[in-house]
Amino acid sequence: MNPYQTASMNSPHDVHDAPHGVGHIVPLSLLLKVFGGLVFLTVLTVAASLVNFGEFNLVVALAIAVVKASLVVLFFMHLRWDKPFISIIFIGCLIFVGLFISLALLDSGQYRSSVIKQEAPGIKDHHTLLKAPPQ
Amino acid sequence: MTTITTEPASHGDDHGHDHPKFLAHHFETPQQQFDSGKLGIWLFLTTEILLFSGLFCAYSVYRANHPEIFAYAHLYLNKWYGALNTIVLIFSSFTMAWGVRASQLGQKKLCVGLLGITFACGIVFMCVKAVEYHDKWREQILPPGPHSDWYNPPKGPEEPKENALEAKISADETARNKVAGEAALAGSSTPAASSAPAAPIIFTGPTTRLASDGVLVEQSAVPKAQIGPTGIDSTWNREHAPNSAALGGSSAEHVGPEPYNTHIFFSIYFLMTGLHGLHVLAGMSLIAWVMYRTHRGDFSPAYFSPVDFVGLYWHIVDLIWIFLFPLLYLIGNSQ
Repeated sequence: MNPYQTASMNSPHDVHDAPHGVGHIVPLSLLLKVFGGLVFLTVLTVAASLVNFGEFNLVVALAIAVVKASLVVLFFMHLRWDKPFISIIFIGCLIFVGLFISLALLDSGQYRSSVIKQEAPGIKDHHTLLKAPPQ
Repeated sequence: MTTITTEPASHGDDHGHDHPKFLAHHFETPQQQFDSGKLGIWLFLTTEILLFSGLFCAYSVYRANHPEIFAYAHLYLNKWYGALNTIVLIFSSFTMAWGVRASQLGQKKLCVGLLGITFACGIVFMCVKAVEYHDKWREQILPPGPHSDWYNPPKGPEEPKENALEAKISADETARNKVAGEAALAGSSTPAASSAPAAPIIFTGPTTRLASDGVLVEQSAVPKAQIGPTGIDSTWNREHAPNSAALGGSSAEHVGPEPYNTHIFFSIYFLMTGLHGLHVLAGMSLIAWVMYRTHRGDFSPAYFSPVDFVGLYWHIVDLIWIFLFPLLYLIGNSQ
């Protein structure tokens, strides 16, 4: 991948490049391969969900989804041939999404014991509190 | 999107070179216009991802704290509809990418045809979604509100005594702890695990009520437990047992009693798929627009930006669905 090659007039994939064309033209055979890969991964993720991996079901499903998303972004959305600045914007966006969700998870995990009754031995049941004698 | 000036090619300024009609006045070359438009559409797509990330965040926090609700409630979603829609969207993404290629190569008729197929895939997706939503509507699994009595069963004819309520609550907890313990020990695949949770639940005898479709439904006279805001009573509506065939075999037995606050899963489900559905509709409108413009002959290998950028938008809609499908439909019952 040559990140500086945006007009890509001399890309190895270009066979029909029009003389005044802008942007990279993705060959049809590559599009077909990506489509086949995506269908295969969809079948795989459904099959994986039928197997009980315990906690790893979520990991497997997300890993397959990330691979599928990468295929779509790199080839269908031709990020692979775009200017690197576009990739920086996109990856920057993903970093902020990751920060957002992971910090929210850290925070809610921190307060988990005070909001989920079964995990808070110090907190009395609601109906017990109702019946508690006045202090 | 790039702005297209309606000015004629020679508009009186002193650019020495010829300025194509599609090239906006403030751009030097078609390449510069294309790159600017590309930057703009990608910035817009990142805001779309951030918009959806709010819902993914709600999903993550709620699932991290209450995995049992997700393991239970997702059984009401039909994973085969979800898989069908995934294939439909992936195929539409493929035809969209091919359409952009056809537009780049100046293959006008092929491009219109491919955009038409993409549009049709959008219709198929929304139809499958409509069938799914209708199934939920029929079962009254709707976003919580006064109309959704699935979550709020009407109270029985007599108000139960307070000690009955307490017995009920403590029995529920015993059952839930027992299920959790057994699942941890035995992997929850033994037949004993399935029969245990039902045993300690005490209820004061069933009554009947008229469901929305006019069928008499047997219902416990015990109101919902008073823990948390609202929730599903664990003895209520057992005949609404989720589609266990979707998981193959007797998997519903692993689930145990209905957890409380199931409606929050469905709120998340409806918000995420609903917002995604709105994006599909928006994408379909945009595809229809570039289809018309392609047919009119606006585009050439030097100027196809609207087709490309609408394609990018369509792909991001596909991208969101690629994550929604496993997260909502394929949760599994192993939590």
